[in-house]
Amino acid sequence: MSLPILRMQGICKSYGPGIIAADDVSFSVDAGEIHALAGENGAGKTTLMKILFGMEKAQRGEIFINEKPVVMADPNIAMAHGIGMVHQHFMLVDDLTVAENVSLGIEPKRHGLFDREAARELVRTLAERFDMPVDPDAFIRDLSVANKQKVEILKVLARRADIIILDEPTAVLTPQETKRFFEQLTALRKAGRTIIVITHKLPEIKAICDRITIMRKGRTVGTYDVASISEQEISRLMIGSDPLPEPILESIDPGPVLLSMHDVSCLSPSGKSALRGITFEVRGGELLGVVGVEGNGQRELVDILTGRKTAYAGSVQLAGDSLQGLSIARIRRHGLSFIPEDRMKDGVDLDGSLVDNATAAIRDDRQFNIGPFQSDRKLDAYAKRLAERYEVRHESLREPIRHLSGGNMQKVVCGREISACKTVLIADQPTRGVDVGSVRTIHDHIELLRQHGKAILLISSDLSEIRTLCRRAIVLHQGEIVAHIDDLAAYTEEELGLYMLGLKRQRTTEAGS
Amino acid sequence: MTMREFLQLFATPEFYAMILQLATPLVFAALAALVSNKAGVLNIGIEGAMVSAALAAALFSTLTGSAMLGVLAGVFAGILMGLFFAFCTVRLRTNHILVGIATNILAAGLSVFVVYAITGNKSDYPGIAMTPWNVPLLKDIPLIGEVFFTEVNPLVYLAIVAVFAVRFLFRRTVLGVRILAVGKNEAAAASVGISTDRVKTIALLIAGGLAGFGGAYLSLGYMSSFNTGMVAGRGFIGIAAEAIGAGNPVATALFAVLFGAVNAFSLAAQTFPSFTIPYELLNTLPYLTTTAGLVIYSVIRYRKLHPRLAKKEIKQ
Repeated sequence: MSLPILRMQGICKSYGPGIIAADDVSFSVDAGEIHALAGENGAGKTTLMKILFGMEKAQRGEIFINEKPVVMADPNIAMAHGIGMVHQHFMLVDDLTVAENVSLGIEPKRHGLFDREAARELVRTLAERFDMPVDPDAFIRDLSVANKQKVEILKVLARRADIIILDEPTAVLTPQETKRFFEQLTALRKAGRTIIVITHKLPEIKAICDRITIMRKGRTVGTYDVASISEQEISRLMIGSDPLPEPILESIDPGPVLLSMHDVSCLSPSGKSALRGITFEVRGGELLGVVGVEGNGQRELVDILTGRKTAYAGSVQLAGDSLQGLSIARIRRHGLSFIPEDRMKDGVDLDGSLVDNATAAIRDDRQFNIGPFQSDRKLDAYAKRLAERYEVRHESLREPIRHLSGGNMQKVVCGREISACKTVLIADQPTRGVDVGSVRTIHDHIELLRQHGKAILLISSDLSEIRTLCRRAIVLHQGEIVAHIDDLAAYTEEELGLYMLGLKRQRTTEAGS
Repeated sequence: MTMREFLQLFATPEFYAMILQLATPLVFAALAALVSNKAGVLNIGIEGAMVSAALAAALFSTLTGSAMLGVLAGVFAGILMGLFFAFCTVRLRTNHILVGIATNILAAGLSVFVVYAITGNKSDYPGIAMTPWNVPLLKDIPLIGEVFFTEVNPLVYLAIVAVFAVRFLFRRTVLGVRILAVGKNEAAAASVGISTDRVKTIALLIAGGLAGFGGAYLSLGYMSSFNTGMVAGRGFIGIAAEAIGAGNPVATALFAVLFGAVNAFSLAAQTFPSFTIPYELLNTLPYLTTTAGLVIYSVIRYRKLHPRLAKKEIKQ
């Protein structure tokens, strides 16, 4: 048995009193393996890796590379020790080329000047050696997500990394791209690289990883050989209890059309065509999923529906009334609720209290008034009830919401929007970055809302989420609906992937163009 | 102004020479704005840096008896102002706009104080002007020779060189690529171990130096003295030219020249005997053009982005 290439021992990290991200964590990786670091969101996986990469400092603990202690003061030191990290959110400069991005920070020079040709050659050599073809002169902004990921990995390889950390690498890939990506990872292992994959997707762990370390609530539960542990066991170790059964898709008779788009087109901020001829409708008691690789028009679709984008052609109707020209406030008064994709940016007022945030959507309602004034007592009671129903773990109703964990914050946002929903709910990535328990709570409430006859549009990059909740879906590719799917269960993930990649499209008979 | 006077104006080499003179400080200011902007900093302190540089240049030219040393002092003052700006925004993380406003007010106030303390009057300080160049042979070319090669201040040539130097910086040097990376995605640059604070500081020092040349030119080239208010918003016009030039050094410089031309026209038009518009109104022309330029630029951009105005485009 060889010595571990990397060993982290007794790592402790706390973000202030009561917020412990890593509690005496130990972690070790052997050379040449693909090692999964699994756990729910907030279990401390990313924090641990950021400590390893020198982006965060641990209060206690030691890191050994090849059994030599190393102090990871900043990413430069980590990189000098052959550690590279591919972040969940890509660290690429959109307006620079692939060659410039890959060589950024380690630019080849000739006569003291930037040697563009050598940078190109570097990309070409690495791309060929590791079978990750990409055009060195392409601008990042023109690349697909899968190609951007390739560039990120090339960036790490260009720095001669032996240990490559990948943070949720498949979150943004289609099933086909994931398969291809796994082949590339296996090739990297064959070339002698050690790979750490942060993930919570069990099938992926089984498919490519050699060993798995499971974390829960800032502690390591244990390290196991993947071959000797079942998906159920992994799941149980991650959550700490058996997963709850899947919810049953109860069908109810669809009601009247509550939300519809007819032949809607618009441009993106950079002037490119973002949506083309979008036509669909959602009836009461229906949940329509929007499937697609991120950046294929979902943002524009949501922005138009919620009134944030007012410049578009075509018509959008909410319960029979046109949305054109209505302010966001008017649209909400028409009964539309909206769970935004980015809770930190658009979902909450970080400095506001739990009450402020939970009641933001019902402040207009006179039933919370005493005379002309709003009643703190009534608002508190509403917020308290909401926190109970959505199992929001909190210290006090008055504490700023930024103290809550991501999952609890998201439950506040979802609770607020679902409770206030009168006709239509737009749920944009409602469970992104949320732990499994919270996902269940949020899904249950969305399903309940559907059973109450509301129309729901669910946008999610997580295909399994859409397949769990929706029967019908539309697939977006480059701003067009390439498929209207009436029964999702009849399609495999691979088939959906073909639509998502634009390799296949339905004939537009019912699209009404 | 009669049509004939108007046409005659455009036939005189003096008019084009004047454009060149008036455009030079604007080109420096616009390049300073461009370098700052590429690093992701909206630097409105360029105006203040030019004021300080103009004063320092005049001051040191008389102190040392050398216009050259005066110019160097002006550039140094510009760099110092850039350093101050960088210290506040990069190191202390103060808001760019607030620091810019503070820099500008500081420079305006301090220059009056310094001039008064030395001379006892509050507005003027004499400087030693740079000797203009006459390029042999080339100056004998008709028209072009008179405009570009007769009695031309060396800083005019330097402005032209600077345009291409800045272009070279971003196209060919490591520093340039890093400035672009920091300006466009600071987190990405930091993640590969680039010290973003250092890159931004260097960019702001370069911007300060460029503004310094612009200021020094005003007091030792265009005029031969410093007077308070002589920068007259040129730093801001430079920022406007950069905005319309959309980050391209050559386009930026051309817009700076356009604004310089309008400035030259407003000055020349005042000398026409038949001219009846008050010169105060004419003096507003460069600023009006700048505003108009920005409006036209915005409208063009808006048209490009706005589907309701360009519906046909997406229907295809």
